[in-house]
Amino acid sequence: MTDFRIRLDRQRCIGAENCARLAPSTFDTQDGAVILLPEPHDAEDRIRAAAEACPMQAIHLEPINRLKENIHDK
Amino acid sequence: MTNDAGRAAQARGVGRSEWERETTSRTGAGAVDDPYPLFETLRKSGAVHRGSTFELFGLPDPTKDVWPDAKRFTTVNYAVAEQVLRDAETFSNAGIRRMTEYVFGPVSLMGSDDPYHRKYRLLVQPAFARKTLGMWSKFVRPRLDELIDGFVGKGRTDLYFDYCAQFPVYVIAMALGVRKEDLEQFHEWAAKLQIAAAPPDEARAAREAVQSYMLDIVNDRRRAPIDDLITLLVQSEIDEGDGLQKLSDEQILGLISNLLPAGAGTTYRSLGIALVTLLERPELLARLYKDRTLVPAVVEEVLRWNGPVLVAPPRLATRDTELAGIAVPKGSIVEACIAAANRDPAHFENPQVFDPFRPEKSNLSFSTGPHFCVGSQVARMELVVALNAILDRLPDLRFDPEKPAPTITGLWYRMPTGVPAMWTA
Repeated sequence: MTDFRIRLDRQRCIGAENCARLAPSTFDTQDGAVILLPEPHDAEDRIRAAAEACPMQAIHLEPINRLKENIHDK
Repeated sequence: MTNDAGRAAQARGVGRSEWERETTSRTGAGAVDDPYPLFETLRKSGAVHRGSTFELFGLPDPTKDVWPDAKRFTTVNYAVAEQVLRDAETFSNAGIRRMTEYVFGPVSLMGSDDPYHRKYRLLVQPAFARKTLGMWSKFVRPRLDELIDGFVGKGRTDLYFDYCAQFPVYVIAMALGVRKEDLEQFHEWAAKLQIAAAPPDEARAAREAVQSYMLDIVNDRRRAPIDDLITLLVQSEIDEGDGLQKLSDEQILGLISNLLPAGAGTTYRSLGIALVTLLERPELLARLYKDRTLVPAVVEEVLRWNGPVLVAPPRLATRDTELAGIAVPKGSIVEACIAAANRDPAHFENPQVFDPFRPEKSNLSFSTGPHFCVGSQVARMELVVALNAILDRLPDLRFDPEKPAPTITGLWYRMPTGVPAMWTA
């Protein structure tokens, strides 16, 4: 289970597909822009490499505060 | 060699290597073999330096007349190169437009800025998408095998001129629907369209010839769509919230003439550099014969360590700004040096070492930001397939000891002087 949430900025995406090359079980493109695939995803280091390689910085990995999330769930 | 002699040699079909040498000598080949030590020295005193790349090496700048009054700057580390390439509002591609417009015409991905550039790019991107790779790759291995068939029995050849340089233009041409009997002609046009390689009038005439040839094919596909790239481009459409957009003929033809300089020389020079790098490392090459899963990592490391494009196309500062503490006035021309960035010790451990086993980390070989190479997936595929074809068919590859050892040379474009090789036939 990952400790981050993936947020995609499709308005910035240029469809370079670096992400889909580096983490093919996590990212793909549809109508020319990035989409998130259903889990299971690639290993965390693959997803981080994909985010780092995005030429448009359109992949954001946002840390999840687990404790807070749990409280919200209840 | 004069251009007339070049043309005559071409007409005889013997002069392709001379043509390559002639056109590339204009872009710094031979003048600078190893640019990396100077980048090391410069980086110690700052990330940004006054002067163009050529000027930093004490060479006359071939683009001086394009921006006669502009202050010139060059970046030599990773962070600032990335900053320039990502901030396309401040560092506009209008910089390169003035350099290329005469040759390539007004419609250009490389020479335009957002929002126009973004729409144009999104419309052409499907032609280079992973799902479309088959439309390119189906021409790659057959062409490579055809080339190898031609020399495999000899046991030796120069792989740079007889292999590397002989396939990317062919693949582009076949993918675009060029007729087989016109391939030689197409190859010559492509050679003249390498940026700054041929005199501007010749390059412009080559562009016009390519576009007029391709217009017939574009019209054919509009009338009768088939399963190919031009049909894909003709039918491509996007809606970015301001109505459905499609590519005009002018945009398709503009893309095609941009594709030849962007996608041909870069790819075969990379392959040539990769082969020299491997031939200089027999143990790694032996390991590669046995374990092909290493090929993609070798390709990535070649692109980082000694990539085909030393410097990104010059950017124009659209406002007074600063880079790494250096004032950059509006109207300045800034060159983001890809090669210096890719050997920045602040970004890569032991950056001077060629190490395909280093931890994966992105580099700037295909640039970054909105102008990130549109064809990077195609280029990577071609390089991997072309290395594998050699490993499949030329066992025990080594330098030809009867030929001088090649060097990797060039300033704007990096390339080997040749790849004289032999194998066990």
